[in-house]
Amino acid sequence: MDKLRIAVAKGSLWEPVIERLEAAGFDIEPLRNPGRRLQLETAEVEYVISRAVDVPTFVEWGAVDIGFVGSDILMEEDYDVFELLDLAIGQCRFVLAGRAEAAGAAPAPGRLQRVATKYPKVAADYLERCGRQAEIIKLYGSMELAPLVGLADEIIDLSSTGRTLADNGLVVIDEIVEVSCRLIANYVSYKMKSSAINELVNKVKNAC
Amino acid sequence: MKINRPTIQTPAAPRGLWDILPAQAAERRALEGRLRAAFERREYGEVISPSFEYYDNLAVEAGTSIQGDMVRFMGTDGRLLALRPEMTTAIARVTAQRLDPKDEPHRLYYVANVFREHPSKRGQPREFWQAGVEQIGGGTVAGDIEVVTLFIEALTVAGLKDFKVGLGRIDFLSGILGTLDIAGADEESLRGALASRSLVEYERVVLGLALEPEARDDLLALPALSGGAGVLDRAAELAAGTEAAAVVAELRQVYAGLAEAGVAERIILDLGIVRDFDYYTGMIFEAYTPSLGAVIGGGGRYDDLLAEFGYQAPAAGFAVGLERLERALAAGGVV
Repeated sequence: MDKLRIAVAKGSLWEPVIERLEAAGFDIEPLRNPGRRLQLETAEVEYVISRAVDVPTFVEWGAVDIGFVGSDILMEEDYDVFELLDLAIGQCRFVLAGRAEAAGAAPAPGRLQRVATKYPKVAADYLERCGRQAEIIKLYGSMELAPLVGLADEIIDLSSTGRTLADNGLVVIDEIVEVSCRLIANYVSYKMKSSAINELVNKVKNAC
Repeated sequence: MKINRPTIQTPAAPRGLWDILPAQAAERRALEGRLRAAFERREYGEVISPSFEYYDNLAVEAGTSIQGDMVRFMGTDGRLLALRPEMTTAIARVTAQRLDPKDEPHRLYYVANVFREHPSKRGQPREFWQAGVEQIGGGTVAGDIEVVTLFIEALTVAGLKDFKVGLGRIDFLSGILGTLDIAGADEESLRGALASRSLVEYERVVLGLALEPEARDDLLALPALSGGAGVLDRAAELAAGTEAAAVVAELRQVYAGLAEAGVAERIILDLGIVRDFDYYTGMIFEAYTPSLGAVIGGGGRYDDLLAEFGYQAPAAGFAVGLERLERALAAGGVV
Protein backbone atom coordinates (compact mmCIF):
# COMPACT_ATOMS: atom_id res chain seq x y z
CA MET A 1 0.00 0.00 0.00
CA ASP A 2 1.23 3.50 -0.85
CA LYS A 3 2.19 5.82 1.97
CA LEU A 4 -0.50 8.17 3.18
CA ARG A 5 -0.02 11.65 1.75
CA ILE A 6 -0.78 14.38 4.30
CA ALA A 7 -1.28 18.10 3.64
CA VAL A 8 -0.07 20.48 6.33
CA ALA A 9 -0.37 24.24 5.94
CA LYS A 10 2.10 26.96 6.86
CA GLY A 11 0.47 29.54 9.10
CA SER A 12 -1.17 29.57 12.49
CA LEU A 13 -1.92 25.83 12.49
CA TRP A 14 1.61 24.78 11.46
CA GLU A 15 3.11 24.51 14.96
CA PRO A 16 0.14 22.99 16.82
CA VAL A 17 -0.45 20.43 14.05
CA ILE A 18 3.21 19.37 13.99
CA GLU A 19 3.22 19.09 17.79
CA ARG A 20 0.14 16.91 17.67
CA LEU A 21 1.63 14.68 14.95
CA GLU A 22 4.78 14.32 17.03
CA ALA A 23 2.76 13.46 20.14
CA ALA A 24 0.91 10.88 18.06
CA GLY A 25 4.23 9.19 17.32
CA PHE A 26 4.86 10.39 13.77
CA ASP A 27 8.31 11.32 12.53
CA ILE A 28 8.08 15.08 11.99
CA GLU A 29 11.82 15.82 11.69
CA PRO A 30 11.63 16.77 7.98
CA LEU A 31 8.91 19.31 8.83
CA ARG A 32 11.18 21.02 11.37
CA ASN A 33 13.38 22.34 8.61
CA PRO A 34 11.66 21.99 5.26
CA GLY A 35 13.62 24.79 3.55
CA ARG A 36 11.89 25.46 0.25
CA ARG A 37 10.80 21.93 -0.31
CA LEU A 38 7.04 21.31 -0.53
CA GLN A 39 7.12 17.50 -0.45
CA LEU A 40 8.79 15.66 2.40
CA GLU A 41 8.91 11.94 2.97
CA THR A 42 9.42 9.86 6.09
CA ALA A 43 9.52 6.10 6.48
CA GLU A 44 5.79 6.11 7.23
CA VAL A 45 4.12 8.99 5.40
CA GLU A 46 4.57 11.76 2.87
CA TYR A 47 3.96 15.38 3.88
CA VAL A 48 2.86 18.07 1.45
CA ILE A 49 3.12 21.71 2.46
CA SER A 50 0.42 23.90 0.94
CA ARG A 51 -1.34 27.16 1.68
CA ALA A 52 -4.05 26.72 4.30
CA VAL A 53 -6.84 27.76 1.94
CA ASP A 54 -5.70 25.19 -0.64
CA VAL A 55 -5.65 22.19 1.72
CA PRO A 56 -9.29 21.15 1.10
CA THR A 57 -8.78 21.51 -2.66
CA PHE A 58 -5.80 19.14 -2.67
CA VAL A 59 -7.84 16.75 -0.53
CA GLU A 60 -11.04 17.01 -2.57
CA TRP A 61 -9.29 16.15 -5.83
CA GLY A 62 -7.36 13.29 -4.24
CA ALA A 63 -3.91 14.84 -4.74
CA VAL A 64 -3.40 14.14 -1.04
CA ASP A 65 -5.22 11.61 1.15
CA ILE A 66 -5.74 13.72 4.25
CA GLY A 67 -5.12 17.25 5.45
CA PHE A 68 -5.25 19.52 8.46
CA VAL A 69 -7.35 22.64 7.95
CA GLY A 70 -9.28 25.25 9.92
CA SER A 71 -13.06 24.84 9.88
CA ASP A 72 -13.28 28.52 8.78
CA ILE A 73 -11.96 27.45 5.36
CA LEU A 74 -14.38 24.50 5.18
CA MET A 75 -17.28 26.85 5.94
CA GLU A 76 -16.40 29.32 3.21
CA GLU A 77 -16.75 26.89 0.30
CA ASP A 78 -18.49 23.56 -0.33
CA TYR A 79 -15.80 20.91 -0.49
CA ASP A 80 -16.67 17.26 -1.00
CA VAL A 81 -14.35 15.86 1.67
CA PHE A 82 -14.74 13.69 4.76
CA GLU A 83 -14.42 15.66 7.98
CA LEU A 84 -13.00 13.06 10.35
CA LEU A 85 -11.86 14.77 13.51
CA ASP A 86 -12.02 18.03 15.44
CA LEU A 87 -8.51 18.41 16.87
CA ALA A 88 -9.60 21.15 19.27
CA ILE A 89 -6.50 23.18 18.41
CA GLY A 90 -6.19 26.57 16.76
CA GLN A 91 -9.45 27.55 18.38
CA CYS A 92 -10.96 30.93 17.64
CA ARG A 93 -14.36 32.25 16.59
CA PHE A 94 -16.08 34.15 13.84
CA VAL A 95 -17.34 37.44 15.24
CA LEU A 96 -19.31 40.42 14.04
CA ALA A 97 -17.46 43.51 15.23
CA GLY A 98 -17.89 47.25 14.89
CA ARG A 99 -16.68 50.54 16.29
CA ALA A 100 -17.11 50.78 20.05
CA GLU A 101 -19.02 54.06 19.87
CA ALA A 102 -21.45 52.74 17.25
CA ALA A 103 -22.09 49.38 18.94
CA GLY A 104 -25.62 48.95 20.22
CA ALA A 105 -26.85 52.05 18.39
CA ALA A 106 -29.66 51.36 15.96
CA PRO A 107 -28.51 51.69 12.35
CA ALA A 108 -29.82 54.76 10.57
CA PRO A 109 -33.19 53.75 9.15
CA GLY A 110 -33.20 53.05 5.46
CA ARG A 111 -29.45 53.11 5.08
CA LEU A 112 -27.93 49.90 3.73
CA GLN A 113 -25.25 48.63 6.10
CA ARG A 114 -21.90 47.48 4.78
CA VAL A 115 -19.97 44.54 6.22
CA ALA A 116 -16.34 43.89 5.30
CA THR A 117 -14.99 40.34 5.46
CA LYS A 118 -12.48 37.87 4.07
CA TYR A 119 -15.27 35.26 4.22
CA PRO A 120 -18.20 36.45 2.05
CA LYS A 121 -20.09 33.15 2.21
CA VAL A 122 -19.85 32.88 5.99
CA ALA A 123 -20.95 36.52 6.19
CA ALA A 124 -23.87 36.08 3.78
CA ASP A 125 -25.08 32.94 5.60
CA TYR A 126 -24.90 34.70 8.96
CA LEU A 127 -26.65 37.88 7.81
CA GLU A 128 -29.39 35.86 6.14
CA ARG A 129 -29.88 33.80 9.31
CA CYS A 130 -30.28 37.04 11.27
CA GLY A 131 -32.69 38.42 8.67
CA ARG A 132 -30.35 41.37 8.12
CA GLN A 133 -29.76 43.09 4.82
CA ALA A 134 -26.25 44.33 4.22
CA GLU A 135 -23.76 44.83 1.44
CA ILE A 136 -20.76 42.53 1.75
CA ILE A 137 -17.31 43.84 0.84
CA LYS A 138 -14.56 41.29 0.28
CA LEU A 139 -11.14 42.16 1.72
CA TYR A 140 -8.00 40.02 1.91
CA GLY A 141 -6.54 41.33 5.17
CA SER A 142 -6.58 44.00 7.89
CA MET A 143 -10.36 43.89 8.29
CA GLU A 144 -10.08 46.21 11.30
CA LEU A 145 -9.22 49.05 8.97
CA ALA A 146 -12.56 48.99 7.15
CA PRO A 147 -14.77 50.53 9.89
CA LEU A 148 -12.01 52.99 10.87
CA VAL A 149 -11.83 54.58 7.43
CA GLY A 150 -15.53 54.32 6.66
CA LEU A 151 -15.32 51.50 4.11
CA ALA A 152 -17.76 49.42 6.13
CA ASP A 153 -19.94 49.73 9.20
CA GLU A 154 -18.97 46.35 10.60
CA ILE A 155 -16.65 43.44 9.95
CA ILE A 156 -17.00 39.66 10.15
CA ASP A 157 -13.67 38.09 10.96
CA LEU A 158 -11.83 35.47 13.03
CA SER A 159 -10.86 36.49 16.52
CA SER A 160 -9.06 34.48 19.18
CA THR A 161 -8.23 36.88 21.99
CA GLY A 162 -10.03 39.97 20.67
CA ARG A 163 -6.88 42.04 21.19
CA THR A 164 -6.45 43.20 17.60
CA LEU A 165 -10.07 44.34 17.63
CA ALA A 166 -9.64 46.21 20.90
CA ASP A 167 -6.38 47.82 19.74
CA ASN A 168 -8.30 49.33 16.84
CA GLY A 169 -11.23 50.54 18.91
CA LEU A 170 -13.56 47.75 17.78
CA VAL A 171 -15.85 45.64 19.94
CA VAL A 172 -17.49 42.28 19.39
CA ILE A 173 -21.18 42.76 18.60
CA ASP A 174 -22.04 39.09 18.09
CA GLU A 175 -20.23 35.75 18.28
CA ILE A 176 -21.10 33.73 15.20
CA VAL A 177 -19.48 30.30 15.49
CA GLU A 178 -16.49 28.52 17.04
CA VAL A 179 -13.69 27.54 14.68
CA SER A 180 -10.98 24.90 15.14
CA CYS A 181 -8.58 22.65 13.24
CA ARG A 182 -10.13 19.66 11.48
CA LEU A 183 -8.66 16.53 9.98
CA ILE A 184 -10.19 15.94 6.55
CA ALA A 185 -9.86 13.06 4.08
CA ASN A 186 -10.42 12.53 0.39
CA TYR A 187 -13.60 10.52 -0.20
CA VAL A 188 -12.01 7.71 -2.18
CA SER A 189 -8.89 7.59 0.02
CA TYR A 190 -11.09 7.20 3.08
CA LYS A 191 -12.96 4.34 1.44
CA MET A 192 -9.93 2.54 -0.03
CA LYS A 193 -7.40 3.16 2.75
CA SER A 194 -9.84 3.18 5.64
CA SER A 195 -7.71 1.10 8.02
CA ALA A 196 -4.58 3.24 7.55
CA ILE A 197 -6.57 6.47 7.87
CA ASN A 198 -8.58 5.30 10.88
CA GLU A 199 -5.34 4.25 12.57
CA LEU A 200 -3.93 7.73 12.03
CA VAL A 201 -7.16 9.34 13.26
CA ASN A 202 -7.05 7.29 16.46
CA LYS A 203 -3.39 8.12 17.10
CA VAL A 204 -3.99 11.84 16.57
CA LYS A 205 -7.18 11.75 18.63
CA ASN A 206 -5.55 10.01 21.59
CA ALA A 207 -2.41 12.13 21.53
CA CYS A 208 -3.95 15.17 23.19
CA MET B 1 -7.56 46.02 -15.52
CA LYS B 2 -8.35 44.19 -18.73
CA ILE B 3 -6.71 40.89 -19.59
CA ASN B 4 -5.05 41.09 -22.99
CA ARG B 5 -7.01 39.31 -25.68
CA PRO B 6 -6.17 38.65 -29.30
CA THR B 7 -7.47 41.54 -31.40
CA ILE B 8 -9.68 39.19 -33.39
CA GLN B 9 -12.13 37.53 -31.01
CA THR B 10 -11.75 33.74 -31.06
CA PRO B 11 -15.11 31.99 -31.14
CA ALA B 12 -15.52 30.03 -27.92
CA ALA B 13 -17.79 27.32 -26.56
CA PRO B 14 -19.64 28.34 -23.40
CA ARG B 15 -17.81 27.90 -20.10
CA GLY B 16 -17.56 24.30 -18.94
CA LEU B 17 -18.30 22.77 -22.36
CA TRP B 18 -15.55 20.99 -24.26
CA ASP B 19 -15.05 19.64 -27.75
CA ILE B 20 -13.81 16.12 -28.36
CA LEU B 21 -11.54 15.93 -31.41
CA PRO B 22 -11.02 12.85 -33.64
CA ALA B 23 -8.31 10.99 -31.73
CA GLN B 24 -10.09 11.30 -28.39
CA ALA B 25 -13.48 10.73 -29.99
CA ALA B 26 -12.25 7.42 -31.42
CA GLU B 27 -11.04 6.36 -27.96
CA ARG B 28 -14.35 7.42 -26.45
CA ARG B 29 -16.38 5.44 -28.99
CA ALA B 30 -14.18 2.39 -28.42
CA LEU B 31 -14.76 2.63 -24.66
CA GLU B 32 -18.50 3.02 -25.21
CA GLY B 33 -18.39 -0.03 -27.45
CA ARG B 34 -16.86 -2.16 -24.70
CA LEU B 35 -19.51 -1.00 -22.22
CA ARG B 36 -22.34 -1.59 -24.70
CA ALA B 37 -21.06 -5.13 -25.29
CA ALA B 38 -21.06 -5.79 -21.53
CA PHE B 39 -24.65 -4.52 -21.22
CA GLU B 40 -25.92 -6.37 -24.30
CA ARG B 41 -24.34 -9.64 -23.19
CA ARG B 42 -26.82 -9.58 -20.30
CA GLU B 43 -29.65 -8.71 -22.70
CA TYR B 44 -30.05 -5.06 -21.81
CA GLY B 45 -31.44 -2.99 -24.68
CA GLU B 46 -30.50 0.60 -25.47
CA VAL B 47 -32.85 3.52 -24.83
CA ILE B 48 -32.31 6.89 -26.49
CA SER B 49 -34.38 9.54 -24.78
CA PRO B 50 -34.71 13.31 -25.32
CA SER B 51 -31.95 15.59 -24.04
CA PHE B 52 -34.46 17.77 -22.24
CA GLU B 53 -37.71 17.08 -20.42
CA TYR B 54 -40.30 19.00 -18.47
CA TYR B 55 -38.53 20.25 -15.37
CA ASP B 56 -41.24 18.80 -13.10
CA ASN B 57 -40.59 15.30 -14.44
CA LEU B 58 -36.86 15.54 -13.81
CA ALA B 59 -37.20 17.20 -10.41
CA VAL B 60 -39.21 14.25 -9.04
CA GLU B 61 -37.26 12.80 -6.09
CA ALA B 62 -34.01 13.75 -7.75
CA GLY B 63 -32.81 15.24 -4.53
CA THR B 64 -32.27 18.85 -3.69
CA SER B 65 -28.58 18.85 -4.57
CA ILE B 66 -29.30 17.89 -8.17
CA GLN B 67 -32.45 20.02 -8.55
CA GLY B 68 -30.49 23.19 -7.93
CA ASP B 69 -27.87 22.16 -10.48
CA MET B 70 -30.21 21.63 -13.42
CA VAL B 71 -29.82 23.72 -16.57
CA ARG B 72 -33.32 25.17 -16.94
CA PHE B 73 -35.08 27.17 -19.62
CA MET B 74 -38.58 28.16 -20.65
CA GLY B 75 -40.36 26.51 -23.60
CA THR B 76 -42.34 28.67 -26.03
CA ASP B 77 -45.50 27.39 -24.30
CA GLY B 78 -44.28 28.87 -21.03
CA ARG B 79 -43.52 25.53 -19.42
CA LEU B 80 -40.26 25.09 -17.56
CA LEU B 81 -37.86 22.65 -19.23
CA ALA B 82 -34.52 21.26 -18.07
CA LEU B 83 -31.62 19.41 -19.61
CA ARG B 84 -31.42 15.97 -18.00
CA PRO B 85 -28.96 16.04 -15.06
CA GLU B 86 -28.86 12.22 -14.94
CA MET B 87 -30.66 9.40 -16.75
CA THR B 88 -32.50 7.37 -14.11
CA THR B 89 -35.41 9.78 -13.71
CA ALA B 90 -35.67 10.30 -17.48
CA ILE B 91 -35.85 6.53 -18.03
CA ALA B 92 -38.49 6.23 -15.30
CA ARG B 93 -40.56 8.68 -17.34
CA VAL B 94 -39.94 6.69 -20.55
CA THR B 95 -40.96 3.47 -18.80
CA ALA B 96 -44.18 4.91 -17.42
CA GLN B 97 -45.15 6.50 -20.73
CA ARG B 98 -44.06 3.81 -23.18
CA LEU B 99 -43.48 0.38 -21.67
CA ASP B 100 -45.92 -2.38 -20.77
CA PRO B 101 -45.76 -3.93 -17.27
CA LYS B 102 -46.48 -7.31 -18.92
CA ASP B 103 -42.98 -7.21 -20.43
CA GLU B 104 -41.19 -6.88 -17.08
CA PRO B 105 -38.46 -7.07 -16.13
CA HIS B 106 -37.34 -4.27 -18.45
CA ARG B 107 -33.59 -4.34 -18.96
CA LEU B 108 -32.51 -0.98 -20.37
CA TYR B 109 -29.18 0.73 -20.93
CA TYR B 110 -28.00 4.12 -22.15
CA VAL B 111 -24.91 5.98 -23.18
CA ALA B 112 -25.86 9.63 -22.91
CA ASN B 113 -24.71 13.15 -22.20
CA VAL B 114 -26.08 14.78 -19.04
CA PHE B 115 -25.94 18.38 -17.89
CA ARG B 116 -25.37 20.09 -14.56
CA GLU B 117 -24.52 23.59 -13.50
CA HIS B 118 -21.62 23.29 -11.10
CA PRO B 119 -22.60 25.18 -7.94
CA SER B 120 -19.19 26.78 -7.45
CA LYS B 121 -18.94 27.74 -11.13
CA ARG B 122 -15.19 27.24 -11.10
CA GLY B 123 -15.12 26.07 -14.69
CA GLN B 124 -15.99 22.44 -14.02
CA PRO B 125 -17.76 20.62 -16.85
CA ARG B 126 -21.43 21.41 -17.37
CA GLU B 127 -21.91 18.51 -19.76
CA PHE B 128 -20.56 15.03 -19.21
CA TRP B 129 -21.26 11.48 -20.37
CA GLN B 130 -22.69 8.53 -18.53
CA ALA B 131 -23.19 4.88 -19.44
CA GLY B 132 -25.54 2.89 -17.29
CA VAL B 133 -28.39 0.44 -16.91
CA GLU B 134 -31.81 0.28 -15.28
CA GLN B 135 -33.48 -2.99 -14.36
CA ILE B 136 -37.18 -2.35 -13.83
CA GLY B 137 -39.58 -4.91 -12.36
CA GLY B 138 -37.08 -7.58 -11.33
CA GLY B 139 -36.91 -9.33 -7.96
CA THR B 140 -35.16 -7.46 -5.16
CA VAL B 141 -32.32 -9.79 -4.20
CA ALA B 142 -31.84 -11.30 -7.66
CA GLY B 143 -32.08 -7.83 -9.20
CA ASP B 144 -29.52 -6.39 -6.78
CA ILE B 145 -27.10 -9.22 -7.53
CA GLU B 146 -27.55 -8.85 -11.29
CA VAL B 147 -27.06 -5.07 -11.29
CA VAL B 148 -23.94 -5.09 -9.08
CA THR B 149 -22.43 -8.00 -11.03
CA LEU B 150 -23.04 -6.15 -14.30
CA PHE B 151 -21.50 -2.97 -12.80
CA ILE B 152 -18.33 -4.91 -12.00
CA GLU B 153 -18.35 -6.65 -15.40
CA ALA B 154 -18.71 -3.31 -17.19
CA LEU B 155 -15.81 -1.68 -15.34
CA THR B 156 -13.67 -4.77 -15.94
CA VAL B 157 -14.51 -4.92 -19.66
CA ALA B 158 -13.77 -1.17 -19.86
CA GLY B 159 -10.21 -2.08 -18.89
CA LEU B 160 -10.14 -0.94 -15.28
CA LYS B 161 -7.91 -3.20 -13.24
CA ASP B 162 -7.55 -1.93 -9.71
CA PHE B 163 -10.96 -1.02 -8.39
CA LYS B 164 -13.30 -1.75 -5.49
CA VAL B 165 -17.05 -1.43 -5.12
CA GLY B 166 -18.44 -0.10 -1.85
CA LEU B 167 -21.82 -1.72 -1.15
CA GLY B 168 -24.24 -0.53 1.51
CA ARG B 169 -27.88 0.08 2.36
CA ILE B 170 -29.50 3.50 2.54
CA ASP B 171 -32.23 2.05 4.82
CA PHE B 172 -29.86 0.65 7.47
CA LEU B 173 -29.60 3.90 9.45
CA SER B 174 -33.33 4.58 9.35
CA GLY B 175 -33.97 0.98 10.47
CA ILE B 176 -31.72 1.46 13.49
CA LEU B 177 -33.13 4.90 14.29
CA GLY B 178 -36.70 3.63 13.93
CA THR B 179 -36.46 1.66 17.16
CA LEU B 180 -34.66 4.39 19.10
CA ASP B 181 -36.67 7.25 20.52
CA ILE B 182 -35.27 9.96 18.26
CA ALA B 183 -37.09 13.08 17.10
CA GLY B 184 -37.53 13.60 13.36
CA ALA B 185 -35.41 16.74 13.46
CA ASP B 186 -32.51 14.84 15.06
CA GLU B 187 -32.79 12.09 12.45
CA GLU B 188 -32.58 14.78 9.77
CA SER B 189 -29.48 16.24 11.46
CA LEU B 190 -27.82 12.81 11.51
CA ARG B 191 -28.61 12.23 7.85
CA GLY B 192 -27.46 15.74 6.99
CA ALA B 193 -24.15 15.19 8.79
CA LEU B 194 -23.55 11.92 6.92
CA ALA B 195 -24.61 13.44 3.59
CA SER B 196 -22.17 16.32 4.06
CA ARG B 197 -19.59 13.70 5.12
CA SER B 198 -18.91 15.35 8.46
CA LEU B 199 -18.20 12.70 11.07
CA VAL B 200 -17.42 15.57 13.46
CA GLU B 201 -20.97 16.90 13.12
CA TYR B 202 -22.44 13.36 13.22
CA GLU B 203 -20.66 12.65 16.50
CA ARG B 204 -21.76 16.02 17.92
CA VAL B 205 -25.42 15.24 17.13
CA VAL B 206 -25.21 11.66 18.51
CA LEU B 207 -23.60 12.85 21.76
CA GLY B 208 -26.38 15.42 22.11
CA LEU B 209 -29.12 12.76 21.99
CA ALA B 210 -30.61 11.32 25.17
CA LEU B 211 -29.62 7.68 24.60
CA GLU B 212 -28.56 4.64 26.60
CA PRO B 213 -24.74 4.32 26.44
CA GLU B 214 -25.01 1.14 24.39
CA ALA B 215 -27.30 2.65 21.76
CA ARG B 216 -25.05 5.71 21.61
CA ASP B 217 -21.94 3.60 21.01
CA ASP B 218 -23.80 1.65 18.30
CA LEU B 219 -24.68 4.88 16.51
CA LEU B 220 -21.12 6.20 16.81
CA ALA B 221 -19.78 2.97 15.30
CA LEU B 222 -22.15 3.05 12.34
CA PRO B 223 -20.32 5.31 9.83
CA ALA B 224 -17.13 3.26 10.15
CA LEU B 225 -18.91 -0.05 9.60
CA SER B 226 -17.00 -1.20 6.53
CA GLY B 227 -14.86 -4.08 5.35
CA GLY B 228 -15.28 -7.72 4.33
CA ALA B 229 -17.88 -10.34 5.19
CA GLY B 230 -17.28 -9.74 8.92
CA VAL B 231 -19.17 -6.45 8.57
CA LEU B 232 -22.40 -8.44 8.12
CA ASP B 233 -22.01 -10.02 11.57
CA ARG B 234 -21.22 -6.71 13.26
CA ALA B 235 -24.12 -5.06 11.42
CA ALA B 236 -26.43 -7.89 12.47
CA GLU B 237 -25.44 -7.33 16.13
CA LEU B 238 -26.16 -3.61 15.84
CA ALA B 239 -29.44 -4.29 14.06
CA ALA B 240 -30.71 -7.04 16.38
CA GLY B 241 -34.30 -6.30 17.36
CA THR B 242 -34.62 -3.33 14.97
CA GLU B 243 -36.13 -2.90 11.51
CA ALA B 244 -32.56 -2.94 10.21
CA ALA B 245 -32.29 -6.68 10.94
CA ALA B 246 -34.20 -7.48 7.73
CA VAL B 247 -31.96 -5.05 5.84
CA VAL B 248 -28.83 -6.87 6.99
CA ALA B 249 -30.38 -10.26 6.18
CA GLU B 250 -31.08 -9.08 2.62
CA LEU B 251 -27.60 -7.62 2.25
CA ARG B 252 -26.20 -10.98 3.36
CA GLN B 253 -28.17 -12.72 0.58
CA VAL B 254 -26.91 -10.22 -2.00
CA TYR B 255 -23.33 -10.63 -0.81
CA ALA B 256 -23.66 -14.43 -1.03
CA GLY B 257 -24.97 -14.05 -4.59
CA LEU B 258 -22.02 -11.83 -5.51
CA ALA B 259 -19.64 -14.39 -4.02
CA GLU B 260 -21.31 -17.05 -6.15
CA ALA B 261 -20.86 -14.83 -9.21
CA GLY B 262 -17.16 -14.67 -8.35
CA VAL B 263 -17.00 -10.90 -7.72
CA ALA B 264 -17.00 -10.76 -3.89
CA GLU B 265 -13.31 -9.81 -3.75
CA ARG B 266 -14.26 -6.50 -5.43
CA ILE B 267 -16.77 -5.66 -2.70
CA ILE B 268 -16.22 -3.50 0.37
CA LEU B 269 -19.34 -3.78 2.52
CA ASP B 270 -19.89 -0.28 3.87
CA LEU B 271 -22.95 0.81 5.82
CA GLY B 272 -21.66 4.38 6.01
CA ILE B 273 -22.26 5.10 2.30
CA VAL B 274 -24.68 7.91 1.48
CA ARG B 275 -25.31 8.83 -2.14
CA ASP B 276 -26.38 12.14 -3.68
CA PHE B 277 -29.79 11.05 -4.91
CA ASP B 278 -32.90 10.98 -2.73
CA TYR B 279 -34.64 8.29 -4.79
CA TYR B 280 -32.66 5.35 -3.41
CA THR B 281 -34.62 3.02 -1.12
CA GLY B 282 -32.34 0.01 -0.45
CA MET B 283 -29.01 -1.17 -1.79
CA ILE B 284 -26.52 1.54 -2.81
CA PHE B 285 -23.06 1.10 -4.29
CA GLU B 286 -20.18 3.03 -5.85
CA ALA B 287 -16.80 2.28 -7.44
CA TYR B 288 -13.38 3.53 -6.36
CA THR B 289 -9.97 3.30 -7.94
CA PRO B 290 -6.76 4.59 -6.31
CA SER B 291 -5.80 6.83 -9.22
CA LEU B 292 -8.98 8.94 -9.00
CA GLY B 293 -10.08 11.09 -6.06
CA ALA B 294 -13.78 10.76 -6.89
CA VAL B 295 -16.11 7.81 -7.42
CA ILE B 296 -16.14 6.48 -11.02
CA GLY B 297 -19.78 5.57 -10.89
CA GLY B 298 -22.47 4.14 -8.69
CA GLY B 299 -26.07 3.19 -8.32
CA GLY B 300 -28.66 1.51 -6.21
CA ARG B 301 -32.23 0.39 -5.74
CA TYR B 302 -35.07 2.89 -6.15
CA ASP B 303 -38.36 1.09 -5.56
CA ASP B 304 -40.54 4.20 -5.20
CA LEU B 305 -39.37 6.36 -8.11
CA LEU B 306 -41.54 4.85 -10.86
CA ALA B 307 -44.64 5.27 -8.70
CA GLU B 308 -44.06 9.03 -8.99
CA PHE B 309 -44.94 8.54 -12.66
CA GLY B 310 -47.89 6.25 -11.89
CA TYR B 311 -46.05 3.03 -12.72
CA GLN B 312 -45.62 0.56 -9.83
CA ALA B 313 -42.39 -1.42 -10.06
CA PRO B 314 -39.23 -2.00 -8.06
CA ALA B 315 -36.07 -0.99 -9.88
CA ALA B 316 -32.32 -0.76 -9.61
CA GLY B 317 -29.54 0.59 -11.80
CA PHE B 318 -26.20 2.35 -12.06
CA ALA B 319 -24.31 4.96 -14.03
CA VAL B 320 -20.61 5.19 -14.85
CA GLY B 321 -19.00 8.57 -15.62
CA LEU B 322 -17.15 8.20 -18.91
CA GLU B 323 -14.76 11.13 -18.38
CA ARG B 324 -13.82 9.81 -14.95
CA LEU B 325 -13.43 6.29 -16.31
CA GLU B 326 -11.16 7.59 -19.07
CA ARG B 327 -9.06 9.46 -16.54
CA ALA B 328 -8.72 6.40 -14.35
CA LEU B 329 -7.76 4.28 -17.37
CA ALA B 330 -5.19 6.84 -18.47
CA ALA B 331 -3.71 6.83 -14.97
CA GLY B 332 -2.79 3.18 -15.30
CA GLY B 333 -5.89 1.11 -14.79
CA VAL B 334 -5.58 -0.60 -18.16
CA VAL B 335 -5.04 -4.36 -18.18
